[in-house]
Amino acid sequence: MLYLNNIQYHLPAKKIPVTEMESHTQLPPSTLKIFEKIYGLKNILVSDELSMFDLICASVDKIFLTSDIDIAQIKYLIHPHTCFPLIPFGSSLVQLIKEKFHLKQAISFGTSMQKCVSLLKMFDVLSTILDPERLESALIFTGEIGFTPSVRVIPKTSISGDASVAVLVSSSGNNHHLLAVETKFLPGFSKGFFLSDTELQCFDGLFITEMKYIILNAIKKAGLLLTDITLILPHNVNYPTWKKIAKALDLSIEKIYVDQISELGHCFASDGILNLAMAETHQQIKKGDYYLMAGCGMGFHFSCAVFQY
Amino acid sequence: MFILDIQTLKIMTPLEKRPRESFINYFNDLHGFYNHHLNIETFYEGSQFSFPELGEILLDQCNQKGWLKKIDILLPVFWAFEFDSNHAHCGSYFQNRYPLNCESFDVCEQGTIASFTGLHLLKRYFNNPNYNRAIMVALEQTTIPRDLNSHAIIPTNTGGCALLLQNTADNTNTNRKLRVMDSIILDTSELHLSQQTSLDMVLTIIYQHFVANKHIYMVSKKNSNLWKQLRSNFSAYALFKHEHLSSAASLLTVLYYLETILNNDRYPRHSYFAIIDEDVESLNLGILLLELL
Repeated sequence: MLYLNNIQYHLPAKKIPVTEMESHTQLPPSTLKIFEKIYGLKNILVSDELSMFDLICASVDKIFLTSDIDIAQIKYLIHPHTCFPLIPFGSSLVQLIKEKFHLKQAISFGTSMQKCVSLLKMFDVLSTILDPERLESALIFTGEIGFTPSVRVIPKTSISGDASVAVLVSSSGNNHHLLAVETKFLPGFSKGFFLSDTELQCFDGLFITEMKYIILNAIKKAGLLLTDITLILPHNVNYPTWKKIAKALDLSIEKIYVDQISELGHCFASDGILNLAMAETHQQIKKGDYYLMAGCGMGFHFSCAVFQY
Repeated sequence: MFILDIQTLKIMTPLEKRPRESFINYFNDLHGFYNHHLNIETFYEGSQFSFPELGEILLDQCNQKGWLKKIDILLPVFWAFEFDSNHAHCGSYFQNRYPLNCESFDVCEQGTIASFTGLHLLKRYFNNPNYNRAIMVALEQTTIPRDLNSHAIIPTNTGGCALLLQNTADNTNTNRKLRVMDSIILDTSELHLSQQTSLDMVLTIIYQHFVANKHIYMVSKKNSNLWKQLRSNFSAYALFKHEHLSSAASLLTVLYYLETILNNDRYPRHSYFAIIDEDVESLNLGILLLELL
């Protein structure tokens, strides 16, 4: 049993049109035009003013400003992230956050194996390890900045934007109830960025089918039907991918919340929670609705989490 | 939770590799982002192992011993960076290489006490009857691209350690095993605000777990604050038999010690151990409480 009891996010004020991302991506204008025209990315969030630590703090701060949580109940402090390392040797972002917010009783760690779906993986882990009898909570946060082109660009797929989210989860609550998580590791592609073009083509050939099955399996595990799902919250890699997934699921694209892809870009491990917050704000989901978050992490790990609001 | 077996790997000979441009650029830009200088020579110092390279040697040995059958969880843990890996993550590589269709995630950014966190998480997992067998793999190497002026403490070991863990005791197996009573992380960052010392906190935890007058080994590092406190506190000192971990800055020292007690007859069965290590970065304490069966 897991509930998302408080979700917060922070977006940098600056957005750069994708076609003006030459210096950030080291991609030529012709390639950036493809990201705009074909992949549906219009603007990318860029954090010029905040450090990675400050970007994360901006979200975590909001958790404590809007919760009356007793920090003694926060048993775990977890930083799921896509890239590793995110800070020069000798420091740890999760330790710095722990010290800043005086979470000394929390067991803290970082995790990055599932890359862009590391956050969904931690929902899965926490649903197993939190002790409901002790009323334990956990604070999970993401937050990455594309400090180098190899972090900013997923070749032929997406351009990453900067953002952070923080989520307070517990084994009891009233809002977002996690019903099921399904994860799948797809063997053969652990090289990630170092896959050859042939290997990548092979992966591309499997991707839509695997996403379809992970989504359907998670829905089944939750005891629901696809028709019960009000909204799919995607990872924001690009628009055509989700159009294909919608088609594979025999679903209208309106059922997939792709509204933010053009304006935010793919914000590392933050997409699912960002989309949840935005969908809530724009009243795309209401109390009682079933929704899911789905995505894929480099290596490759597929993940889908089904919730009831 | 029981530690049934331990497989260790110690590499003495470094590799000699040229880091790829992509690896250099990543660290260059990372250090630039933090306004740190990056000393290029640090790419060429140390053992230059990627975690898939180290883990493959270790897990091949585990595979030969039949460990990889019926594994429910694979948990990679690490402190240091790896060197210029060909893979998105070592855990993904291991799942692919063996192949392992099991629960898996990694624990990092816990400094040299990451293995204590790993054991804590596995103990929590084993409260769920769906999980019974796990392998925790700790890996470390010594090439750390960095700003030499940061004077960061870097790892001294290249190698790894794999622990085979099981939730239930197999009474038909008479081999020595370690019962993990608890694995605790003690944050010492606000200790200065209280009247307590880290020794007070450690003793409180030990008293909560062990029956008085048990045969307890207190295992610490000689260069730790805790040992210094113990030496000057005769009544606390006299409660335990004392042993020491290697003073090396390493995630692996604790795990190498576990192998020693598991395989060395000089430790009688039903001995109790309180093994305490201090993270070299945060100075937080990891406390592992064990019974040798």
